Amino acid sequence: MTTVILAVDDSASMRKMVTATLMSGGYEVVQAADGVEALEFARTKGVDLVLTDVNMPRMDGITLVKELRLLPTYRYTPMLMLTTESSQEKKQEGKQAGATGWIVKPFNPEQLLSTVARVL
Amino acid sequence: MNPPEKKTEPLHAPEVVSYLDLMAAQLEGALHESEPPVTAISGVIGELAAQIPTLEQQIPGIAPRLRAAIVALQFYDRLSQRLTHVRDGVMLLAGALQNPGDGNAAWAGLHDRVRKQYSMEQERRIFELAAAGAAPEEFSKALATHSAESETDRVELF
Repeated sequence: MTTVILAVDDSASMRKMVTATLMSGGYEVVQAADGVEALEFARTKGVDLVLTDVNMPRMDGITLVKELRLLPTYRYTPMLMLTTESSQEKKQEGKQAGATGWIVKPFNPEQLLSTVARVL
Repeated sequence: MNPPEKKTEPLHAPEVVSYLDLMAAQLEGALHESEPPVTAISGVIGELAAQIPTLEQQIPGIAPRLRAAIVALQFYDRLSQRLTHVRDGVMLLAGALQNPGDGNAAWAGLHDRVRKQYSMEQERRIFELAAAGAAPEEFSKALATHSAESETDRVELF
């Protein structure tokens, strides 16, 4: 069964590159343009991993992770942040929200794929 | 008889606000114009990258070049964030000039709002330099010496 990843980023070009990278690794990708869209999707379907930006309109990535952790289907789903944010303070926020890991942009495609494989 | 003192006209806030509004509009325009072509290029590179295993068989050596292109194209994400923050900062300044409020408290509030919008450590670093009264040359130095985190620092699993 194909592994499904929910990729969340308000930048269309980032979503394209993340999706292409994940697809090259054999994953199926569902895209969302912000936390609200991602949460709406998540309330109807589970995925195997969530990969989300932090700074997004309507709902940021850290709030998204907090909300997703409240859903029974997402309680143990790996959730990686993919963001330009690199401060320890922000990382701690992400960790406390329930994130599994933190990747600082720009991402290296091979490193992204190996990190995804590690947490799945 | 002494020559008349040269009077210096203070900058009029409404005119300054107009210029700030113009700058904000130009930044908005630049962001708006640049997004579609970058998204289109990202799409093409993305489509090729999704086929890396197949393409590598047909064009040996293409895989690392496509991966490098993916890393390179991500410049736009950082650039658009920075330009957005500059635009928002300009608009905040225009708003502060139009509604000056109580001097020190208003300035502290503006300082706070500008700082809060930053999403990159590099931006915060030069903002703090500016707030501390550093010369503009120091900003360029700080930007130039900022180095991307090493490959091992880019990923942290909790």
